[in-house]
Amino acid sequence: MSKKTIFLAGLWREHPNLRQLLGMCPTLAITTSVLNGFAMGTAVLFVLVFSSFMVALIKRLIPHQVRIAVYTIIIATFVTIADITLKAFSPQISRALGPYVPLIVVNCIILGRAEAFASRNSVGNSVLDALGMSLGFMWGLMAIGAVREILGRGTIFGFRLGIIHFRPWIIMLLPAGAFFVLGFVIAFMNFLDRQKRLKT
Amino acid sequence: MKEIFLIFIGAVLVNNFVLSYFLGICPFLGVSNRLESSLGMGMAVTFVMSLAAAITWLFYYLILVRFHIEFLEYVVFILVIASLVQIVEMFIKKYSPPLYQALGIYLPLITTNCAILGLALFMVLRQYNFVQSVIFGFATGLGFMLVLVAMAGIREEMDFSDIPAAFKGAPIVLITAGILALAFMGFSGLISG
Amino acid sequence: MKYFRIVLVLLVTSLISAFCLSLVSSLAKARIENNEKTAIERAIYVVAPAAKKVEEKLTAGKTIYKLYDGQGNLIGYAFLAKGYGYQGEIKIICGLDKNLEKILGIEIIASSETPGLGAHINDSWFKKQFRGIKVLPRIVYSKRKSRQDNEIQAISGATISSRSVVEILNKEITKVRKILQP
Repeated sequence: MSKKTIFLAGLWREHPNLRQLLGMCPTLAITTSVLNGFAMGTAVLFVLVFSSFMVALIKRLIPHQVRIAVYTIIIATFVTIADITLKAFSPQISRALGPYVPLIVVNCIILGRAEAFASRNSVGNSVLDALGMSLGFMWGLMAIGAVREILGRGTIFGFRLGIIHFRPWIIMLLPAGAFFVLGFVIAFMNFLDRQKRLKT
Repeated sequence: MKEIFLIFIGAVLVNNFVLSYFLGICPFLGVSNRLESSLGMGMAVTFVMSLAAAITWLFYYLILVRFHIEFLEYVVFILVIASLVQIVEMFIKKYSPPLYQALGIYLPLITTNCAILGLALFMVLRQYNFVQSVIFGFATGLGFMLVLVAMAGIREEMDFSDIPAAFKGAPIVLITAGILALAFMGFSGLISG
Repeated sequence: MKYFRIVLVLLVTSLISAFCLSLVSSLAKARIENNEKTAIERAIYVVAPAAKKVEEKLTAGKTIYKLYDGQGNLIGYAFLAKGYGYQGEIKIICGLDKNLEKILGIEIIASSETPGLGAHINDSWFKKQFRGIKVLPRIVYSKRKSRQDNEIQAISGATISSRSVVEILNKEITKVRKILQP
């Protein structure tokens, strides 16, 4: 596998939240704005890249039976660091993301990549894979955040969108809206896939 | 007493873990296609959640707070939960094979279930005491089971409908969950917090 | 021998993790406490713009801020009131006049109410209502325009959030009055 393939996989073909359907909790919970999506994406990037790096680095030292336990400790450590850093340097974002930052610990993407990739590939490739997956996750979050923010608040990144006679659909900011938007986005991606397959 | 009742109703209906906080979506999407498996998963989750609430509470207040090492919260919680699930699985396998047949396969799935860690985190955030925490865990599990079973019922009916190709699978389940979430919003007036 | 290796790896990993986290936690602790303090300070000056000096005092387990104007006269008190709203915790900084009879103003420093509905408790029109409100016998809310001098108007469609704010204030004001006027 070329380095380019490894990196690009997470961005489209094996997209973590919109294709593999992993990490659904944050995708539904915090995507009430593009900024939130970006912030969560950054947190996940930090945790995923560093965890994959560590796992790939020490993979030969870990006995097979305890590998999940060790990966979990590593992941939980980086999540705690991310959480403390957010609380200290950006309390507003920390409060906006709330308990979903510590919940990155159980985000299937991170443990999934550690087990599926980092534990059997070189450090360099593992970091590339982690970068690809987290950037993919981030754009997925931001896309859903954009739909919900534009329709639910009439703003994007906080800036009013000057469309005068638009009364925001508050439902978009509520849990039900999250389910609807995600459902339609995944349906749309399935549709694109089918079109592609029908053409070939 | 009133407080416990509020916590119970809150966790099952008003602030349902799946429909309000999006915790436990992975198993929700995966297991809710059959009524039987939903019941099994729901019961396993309720049992583990009540136990997890009790044990993580003890770990947090008797060890972490006592020794001022609260920053180890996430590491300790996830390890405790994972070990708990492992022990419960071994226990059931040994002492009740029929129960293991019914529930056992769902147990490993529960570990990465955000709902259990979420439960522990909320319990700490809201500063529940021991009894409140166990009730909270039990109620959250019931709420999860309620939504899972409702979804399974709907999905079994949907098997007979003509769903557009792009929507088959996750999308239609998510949209249905959205409608369920809308319905559950009606409960919000129940607890006059 | 195999068991030894397993236990050793787990132990070492846990110790390194605990060490790193303890380090990061102690480094960040000062900053986190400072953030909280800054938020409260900022809120106090919003609540009582006439205050030029703030003196923090811990009385009977409650932190109360004494507010002084430019000439050193006591103009009132401020304190933190918190409780549960509809969706999560609401933290309010409340300012009382020096006779503990009227509210100088309120500022909400933390809330996670429903966007578009309960979140309107953060709107200035809602918070401004509380200026000059009488706190005795207690603050009340109504769904129409307020007619009494201890009454505010609730947000339509967000009665629970509005009610929570009023109840949180009532509870804390009673407590503070008892502490300052035993």
